[in-house]
This record gives sequence, C-alpha cells and structure tokens, in this order.
Amino acid sequence: MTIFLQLVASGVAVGMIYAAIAFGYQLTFATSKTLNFGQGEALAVGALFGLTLVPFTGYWLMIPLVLVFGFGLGAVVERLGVRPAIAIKSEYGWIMATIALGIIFKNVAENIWGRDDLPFPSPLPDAPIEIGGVRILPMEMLIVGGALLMMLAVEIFNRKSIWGKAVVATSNDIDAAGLMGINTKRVITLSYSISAMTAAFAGVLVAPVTLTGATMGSVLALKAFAVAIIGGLESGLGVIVGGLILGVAETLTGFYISTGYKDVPGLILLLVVLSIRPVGLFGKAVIKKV
Amino acid sequence: MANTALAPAAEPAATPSLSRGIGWVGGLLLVAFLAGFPHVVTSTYYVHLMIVIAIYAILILGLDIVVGYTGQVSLGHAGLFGIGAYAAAALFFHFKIGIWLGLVAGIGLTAAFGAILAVPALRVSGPYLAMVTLAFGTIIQIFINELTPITNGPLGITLPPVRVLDFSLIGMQAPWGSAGRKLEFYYLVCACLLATIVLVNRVVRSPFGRAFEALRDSPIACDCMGVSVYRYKVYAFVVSAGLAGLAGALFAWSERYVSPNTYSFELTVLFLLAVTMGGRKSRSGPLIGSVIIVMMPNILADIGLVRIMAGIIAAAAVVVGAQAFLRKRENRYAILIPVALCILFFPATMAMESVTDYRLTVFGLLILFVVYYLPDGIVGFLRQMIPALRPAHTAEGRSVAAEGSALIAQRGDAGAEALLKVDQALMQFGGLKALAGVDLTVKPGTIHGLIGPNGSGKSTMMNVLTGIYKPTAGTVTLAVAGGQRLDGRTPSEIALAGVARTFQNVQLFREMTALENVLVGLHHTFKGTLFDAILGTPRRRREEREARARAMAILDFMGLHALAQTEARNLPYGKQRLLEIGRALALDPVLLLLDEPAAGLTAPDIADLVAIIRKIRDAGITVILIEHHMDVVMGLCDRVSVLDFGHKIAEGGAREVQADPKVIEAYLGAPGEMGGTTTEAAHA
Amino acid sequence: MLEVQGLHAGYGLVEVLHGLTFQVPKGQVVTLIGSNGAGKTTTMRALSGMIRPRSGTIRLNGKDIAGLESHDVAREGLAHSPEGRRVFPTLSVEDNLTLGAFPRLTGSRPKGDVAADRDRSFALFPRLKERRNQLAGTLSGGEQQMLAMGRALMLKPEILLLDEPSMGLAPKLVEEVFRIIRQLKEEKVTMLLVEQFAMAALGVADHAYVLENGRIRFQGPAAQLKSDPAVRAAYLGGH
Repeated sequence: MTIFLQLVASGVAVGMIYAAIAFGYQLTFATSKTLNFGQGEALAVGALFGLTLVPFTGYWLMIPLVLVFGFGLGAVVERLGVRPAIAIKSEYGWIMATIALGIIFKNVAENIWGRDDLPFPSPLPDAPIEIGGVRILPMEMLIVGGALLMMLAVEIFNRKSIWGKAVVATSNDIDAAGLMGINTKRVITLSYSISAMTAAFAGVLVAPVTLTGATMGSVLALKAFAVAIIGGLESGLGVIVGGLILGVAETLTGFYISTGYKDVPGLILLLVVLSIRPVGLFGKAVIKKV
Repeated sequence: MANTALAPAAEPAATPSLSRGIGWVGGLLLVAFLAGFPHVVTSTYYVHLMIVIAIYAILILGLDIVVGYTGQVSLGHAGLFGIGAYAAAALFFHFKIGIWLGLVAGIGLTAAFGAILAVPALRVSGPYLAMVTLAFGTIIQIFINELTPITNGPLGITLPPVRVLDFSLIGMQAPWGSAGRKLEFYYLVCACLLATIVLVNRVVRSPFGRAFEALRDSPIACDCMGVSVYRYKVYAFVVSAGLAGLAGALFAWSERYVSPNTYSFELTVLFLLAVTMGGRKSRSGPLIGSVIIVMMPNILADIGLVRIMAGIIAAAAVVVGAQAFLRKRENRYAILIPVALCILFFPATMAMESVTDYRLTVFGLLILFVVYYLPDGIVGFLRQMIPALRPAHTAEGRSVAAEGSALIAQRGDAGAEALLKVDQALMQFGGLKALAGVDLTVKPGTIHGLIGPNGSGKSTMMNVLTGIYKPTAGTVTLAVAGGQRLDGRTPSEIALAGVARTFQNVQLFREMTALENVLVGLHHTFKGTLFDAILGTPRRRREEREARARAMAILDFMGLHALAQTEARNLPYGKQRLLEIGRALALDPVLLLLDEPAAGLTAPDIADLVAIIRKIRDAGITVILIEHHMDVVMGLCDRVSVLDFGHKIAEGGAREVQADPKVIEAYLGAPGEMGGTTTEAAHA
Repeated sequence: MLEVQGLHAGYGLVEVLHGLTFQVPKGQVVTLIGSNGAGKTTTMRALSGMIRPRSGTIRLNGKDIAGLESHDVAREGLAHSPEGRRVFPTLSVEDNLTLGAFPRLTGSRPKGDVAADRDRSFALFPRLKERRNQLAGTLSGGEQQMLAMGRALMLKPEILLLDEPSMGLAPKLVEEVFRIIRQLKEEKVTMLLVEQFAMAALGVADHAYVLENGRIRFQGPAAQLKSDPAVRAAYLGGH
C-alpha cells in the first residue's frame, strides 16, 4: 500500500508540471486560438538558461531572471511564428512555424550547452520527508507548490488588473474587445509571453529532479497536450485535474508495467478523449451556425 | 482614406491539351532519367542516394494526400514509415522472408494502422488533428522500442543484401550479369515510384480525390450533400499510410538496418518540409521536395558547397529584388525582408567554418521561409510564373460536352397534398425558443417563401429541415417513398432522401473548379470502389464520363458553361451563388432550399437568379426560398410564410402578406411607439 | 461631429455599401433604418473599424478615421455597442463596465473619474446595479443590452453607435431600451442608431436615413418620415 501511495505522491508532482505546461497552452489558445508547438523547447531553454545563472545567483534569485527570459522568448515566438500566420489565417502556418522555432531553439541550445544531459543543482535538501509512511522529496513539494502558486498568480492578474481583464475580454470576444479600445494583437503577444514564462518556470522547477538538456521538454510538452485536451483548451481548473490523472497514471504504469511504457497512458488518453469528446472533458460543445 | 481592391481574378489555367502534353512529356523524361541514371552516374553512393530520394518521394506523395488534399497537418508519418520498415524487417528477422512479401506486409500493416489512426482523427481537425497524429507517431516509436521480442528493441534489426529476383529458382543466370544484379533493387524502387505516381494521379482525379478536397474546403457542405466526411477521411489516411508503408519496407531493405530512433518527430518534420517546399497537390512537388531534404545534409556537410549555394541564392535574390523595384511591382516592399535575408545568408556562411551542427537550424529557417514566402511551394511558384504549367483540372484533358437533361426531378408521392409538412416544430437552445411550435405545409411544384425579421427563426428552420439541428419537438415529413420522417436524421441522409440546400455564406469548394464542384454534387451516382479508381477500370471511366457530361449540362443550365474550368474562389460573387445552386441540383432533389440566394447580388445577377429559380420550378422541383429581398420574394413566390420570434404570424399569397398589418408591424415595429409615449406594443 | 462621404465597404468579394454619405451633427440622434441585408450593420462595422472600408472618408471631429483598427477608433472617441450585445460573458457586470473605460485607464484618453462614471451607469441602469458582481453571461437579453450600452458610455465617447439595440428583445424591453435612449438624448449624447424597427427609431431620432441595398434611398427629419409610406416600401417591397 505504501508503494502505491508513494507512486501517487510522485505522480502528483509530475502531474503538476504537466498542468503548468498545459496552463500555458490554454493562455494562448484562449486569446488567439493558437498555441506553441515548441512549448517544450521553451521549457528546456528556460531550464538551461537557469542552469547557467545558478552558479552566479543561486537558485532563488535565478527564478525572476528566468521568468523575464521566458517572457521575452514568448514575445519572439509570437512575433515571428504566430502573428504572420494569424494575419493570413493559416492554421498550417502557425503550427509549422512554432514547430520550426522549437527546432531552431533546440538546435541552438544543443550547440551552446552541448548534447549531453546535465544535472541541475537542487535548492532543497535531497533527503525525503516522511509523511504518513510515504517518502516525499522536498523538491517534489516545491514543484507542486510552485506550479500552483504560478497558476494562482496568473489568475489573480486576470481578475484584478486591467490588462488581465483585457486578456479575459479578448478570450471571450476578440472583436468586442477591440471595440473597447483594447489592442488585441498586443494582448495576444502578452498571452504568449506569459505562456512561455510559465513554461520556463516549469523548466526550472522540474530540472532538479530530472536531467537538464535540450531535449528535456519535447515529451513533456506532448503529454501536456493530453492534459490540455482533457482539461479543455479554454477552461482553467480542468488542467489541474487532467495533470493529476495523467501524472498518477504514469507513475503507476511505470512501476507496475514497465518504465519504457510509462509515456503511453498519457498519449492513449489523448487519443481516446479526442475520439469520444473532441472538445475535451471540460470543454464546451460548440453549436454550429450556418 | 482606405482602399482595398476586390480579389482580382486569377489567370486562367492552360488549355487542357497543353497541360496534358506537358504532363506526358514530364513523365517520359522522368522514366528516361531514372532508367539511365545508374549507367551515367556509376558511383554506388549516388545510386543509393537516388534510391533514398525515390523512397522518400513515395512517402511524400502519400503525405500530400493528407496535407495537400484533405488539408490536415499530419505529425505522425514517420511513425507510419517505421511500421512499414519494421513490418518488412521483422518478417525477415523471425521468418527469413524476403522483400516481396515484406512489401506486401509493409503496405498492408501500415494501411491497417492508417485506419486505426483515422478513428481519433475523424471528429477533429486543425491543431487537434496535429496532436492526434503526433501522439500516434510517438506511441509507435515507443512500442517499436519496447516490444523487443518482435522488433529487437533498441538494438535494431540488420538485414542482408536484398535479393529481388532469384533466377536460381528457375535454374538460370541473370541475363544482365552481376553488375546488373546490383541494380535490381534500384529498378524495383523506381518501378514502385512510378506506380505510386500513377496511383496517386488516379486517386486524386477520382471522386475520392474530389471528396478529399471537398472535406477540406467545406465539411458542412459535404454533410449536406451526402459525402461522408468520416468515410473519406479514413480513405485518405489509409491510402497515405499504405504508401508510407511501402516506402518504409523499401527503406528497410535499402538501408539494411532499422532502429527505433530513426522514425522520430524530426523525420516527420522533414517530410512536411518536403511536401510544403516542393509544392502540395502536385506530383513533381514531392519529387522536388524529396531531392531537397535528401541532398541538403550532404550539401550542408561541405562548407564550400554551402558558400557556393549561398552565393547563388544571394545573387538570385538581388535579381528578383531589383526586378521588383525597377518594374515598380506592388509588393516590392513586402519582399524586401526575404530578399534581405537571402542576401545576408551569404556573408554568414563565409564567417562560419562548418554548418553541420546547425543543420536543424537551417531546416527550421527553411520551414519558416517556406511557410510565409512560398506557401504553394516551388511548384506553386513556377505555376504562377508559367501559365502553361498549371494543371489541366480535367482528368482526361478533353473538354466535355454537355449531354442529357440538366435537371432530373425526383417526383414526390403522387397525389400528395403537401410535399413537405412541418408539424409544431420546436427548437430550443437553453432558455431561448428559436422556433416556438411552427407549422409549415409546402405544396409540390411551388416556390414557397419564408420571410421574417432578424432573429425570427428562418435560418433555424432551414437548419432543422436539413438536419443540422435536431428539433426539440415536432415532426418534419417528406412525401417521398411513401412518406418519411426527416427530423432526427443526419444532414447526409436528408440530402440523399431528396432535400438539397444552399447556404447563407456560400459554401463552395473554393480550390476546386466549377465543374468539380458540381461533380461532388453528383457523388451519389458513383458506385465504384477505391480499387476501381486505382486500377482505372472501365466502370470507373464510364461513370466519370457520364458524370462530367451531366455536370456540364447543369453548368449550361445555370449559364456557367464558360466558367467550367475556373476555380470556385476566382468566380465573381454572383456566379458563385449560381454555382452553389447548380451543385445542389446535382443531387436530383425533390425539394430545393435556398438560403438568401440574392444577398449581395447586383440587379442583373438578381434577374438571372429569378429566371433560373423559375426554370427550376418549371422542371418540377419544389423550392423553399428564404430571402430578405422583398421584390424577389414577391415576384417569385406562390405562397409566403412569415415568421417572427419563432412563431408563424402570417401566411398566404405574396400581395396578401405584404399588406398584412401584423407583418408590417413585425418588420417596422408597432405604430404605438411613435411620438415618445410608452404604449404597450401589440405584437402577435 | 461625424461626416461620412462615399463609403464603400463589404466582405470578401461582395461590396455591400455602395457609396454612403451622411452626417451626425453634434448633440443629435441620427438613425439609419432599413430591412435586413440593407447594410446597416455593415455601416456600423466600417465606422468602428471592425471591417476596413474599401474607399470613402469617415471624419470624426474633422479627423479621418477610415481604415483605422477598432481599438484606435475607440481611442478617438467612437464607442460602438455592437449588434448582438457581445458583452464579455465570463467577466462580471462591473468588470464589463470598467473595460469600457479601457483607453481612459491606460492613458489613451483623458482619465476623468472612472468610479464616478460607473456609479452614474448604475444610476441609469438600476437593474445592473443589483447584479454588479454577477457574470455578464448569466444576464437576460434586456440586461445585456443595458450593459452593452453602459459599457459603451464608459468611454465618455464623442459619439455613441447603437447597433440594433432592439434585436431579440421582447416588446416591453424594447420600450425600456428606447426610454433610456431618450434619456441619453436629453443629456445631449450624440448618437447614431441603427434599427430594423423603423417606428421605434423614428420616434426617438432627430434625422433619419433609409437604407436599401447598400444605398441611401432617401432621408429626412424623423418626424416627417414617420408617416411616409415610402418607408414601408423600403422594407416590404412594392415600389
């Protein structure tokens, strides 16, 4: 039984990372109906950037710098990859463009930091804490706490600040938002900046418990798709539920079946959900208008 | 001051016979080139490279069906490629089976997986479909890696040199000697490539290919014409997968080694780059794309070559840029950026010692460049420059004569009072009653108008009649084949039962010609299977001939004969509306529903429209007309029903209804609201 | 205040407006009436920047705003309460109103006292005050119409565009909406009103233009047009 709980506890931590990345997808999809197919690379580059900074600033001071870096990265992705595609209304355009930017970032990162995976210094002691017979790494608790805190911060921004409300307005109705005097293009850039920022933050959260390298983000991002689909690409809370489901399913599969297959449940879940309910578990069905 | 020109009409396509001629010449040149290549370039390295190019081209031609024709992004084709490769490799690994059965297994197994992949892909499109295919591709890679008993896992499988033809079985020596023996595989691959080109040609020019394009351009219109979006999506995936499987099996025997990490996301992206850069919806595009992605790593490895290429590109960019400026072309400032980038590329390569480490960055930049500046690929670009290269758009290349009657009206049940009877239709969305219990009786052979102010429920009624909405309550009965209920049935079933419609926002298949649009309407007349299409059987050819003749007759009837070969998106708006009606008539309907056909039309177009609607009625087809254009309604309709707030408030002859005070009030508001007093407005 | 000359606009291949010319003098209510498909909403969208005009000028206090994007048009002081209301459903009533003042809160227009203006909105629309923290998506049609109008007023606009305020509303609510429009008229708010229900619009406007098939068929003082049979013909044909 304790093993089971142990797996669940690790699964929760993993799941929160997925939720954090999926949260980033929601932000941009809500405002622009697009998302960054290179989100995994944003995560990886953020983590690598953080790794470079840590010897100089220590873990905690590194975080705000990585956030700023991610913010800028998101703006670059939006300007180069997404805005031109939206202007010509090409879905293929932004999908391929964000994939291309992701490939470029990964390749550049490989050249700067090398192809090998590097260890990331942990800010917290490695000794697990025991709670109710279950051993939890302090870093795992930081992941859960950090991810929740970040999502909460963005929610507060959306509710309290005028620009946050402008973001919500743009997600609700982009034309009406324009009528309010809101520059919706800038709002979309902002949502991409925040999205990449959350990915970079997720990167430095997860890096200490795994290996850091240019490829660390790809599979994470793909599984986060599954979480975003399950949670619905428009709604907020669903991603946390989805992330937890996926994270726990994975750790259980990894232990009871085989580590090689641990990525499979998430992907199969994605396929199954899209087969049955194309708008996701929490998504709203759209009434067709002809 | 703002000035936006209306979309200019594109240049017409080449004459069919010229395009066909060019097609044949191109084909023969390709055959000659492939046949002669290994005798001119004898290095085994380059022959092998050509084999890889041909193999990739097979896959990319298949990928074009999904990306170019059905218009979806597939991020999982490397996975399908891997299935084909492993099917062949595993057969050898376990049973020592050689290439021929390996090919069969590759095609068959991968096609089956294509069908499986189609299931989650059926109801989604766009980014969701991309995710589905990406998930699929990743799962395949994982399973290949993990199922060690079958696939030998990460160690991979090594294959011996391939034995294509075993002459010892018939007790002979190979007639072409041992040097020739080494080329057997090469010729096998070339044969497969040529067969693929022929197959893809046949499929895209068949009803299947048209259905693929139709479901890309307007799934709603497909639904309302009895063309099943699901079914054709499955076909597209299966054909595409089959070809990927063929390529994979050939690849396994070509490289003689398969391992899981070859079939990765990066490879898929490479394939996508090839199909986009080469040019979608073409046969030469995938060939060009394949050459580029195979040669690119080789070129990039040699910095000297890179610098030469960069120099050529920079020079070409200077020429194109100078030309644009000297001729004062409209887009000269817009192309400044790509021109500048191309020019800057050259000094950048001079500064670097080696580009190999940045190979993927170069590919990424290429993708960006192609997506924004070359969306139709190299072939698309050439086609724009040289009209003679544009596709003929008719399979046989012959212009077709109209034959037979354009309108084949199905008769409703004889003696039926009402062709269509709607009984207390209720359509509720949450708290809102868009239709609050409406009765409607439409007599056969009449033109029945349905009018009412904004929000009155006319469009809702239209959507209920055609199955897009299932009514919350009430029945819809069509007096055909003894009387059948339409409520609760799918748009496809209703269309095939004899009810055709047009749409408020024109839902034509934009990238297909007028003739092809009508041919999709005639889909219900095609009984042939996919194999008929691939093999080009006499049945297929006969059906196609007859359908084309009928389609031309319909275009004649609508006055669109001269525009048969023009793409729908390039037609003037008035003609687009008429084409949509023509396409609906191809269903041989008993009832035709027209949704605001006169909207946005100029006066002469409206006169054409009115004349055509009369002709349709005279041919025996019953028409229901939703219109705001009162003159049209009053002039055409035998009977008019007026809706307001989901209720029917008046019904009768046109003049009657026009003078009815309830109708006037519904449109203009209650007279009591005049003068600023707050009297109770008396709505019906 | 607002001068439109030779406005041509449309969607894709279709030109819907074929050269409209009309004015809205300061402090007056002008109405554009006509049946569906006449081009009323297309006109509003061209004015507020939701679609780009093909040609023509739109002068707001002398400055040509034709072709500007909608957020820039709002910053110039043109507020558009759009067809179908289009309130932000997942934001509260109060937040919707606050967003109406976005350019004032972000420095593109003189700030003034936003809180006081919000209170004035609540005074004008008491029903909204009761529901100030409710999500706008849960309001009834009539309440959403009030909210859309209040939101537009929060811009402190030079001119207010009202696009089919009566659409989908029961007669009693239509009355209430027009009562409020009359009140705004008394406060000298310059308004351009587009309405399908000619009678109600003519009851509140100073001047009216009748649109048919993208052209102005005729115009005149609203009081005069109320009893003109030509108006009915513009809707129901027969001329």
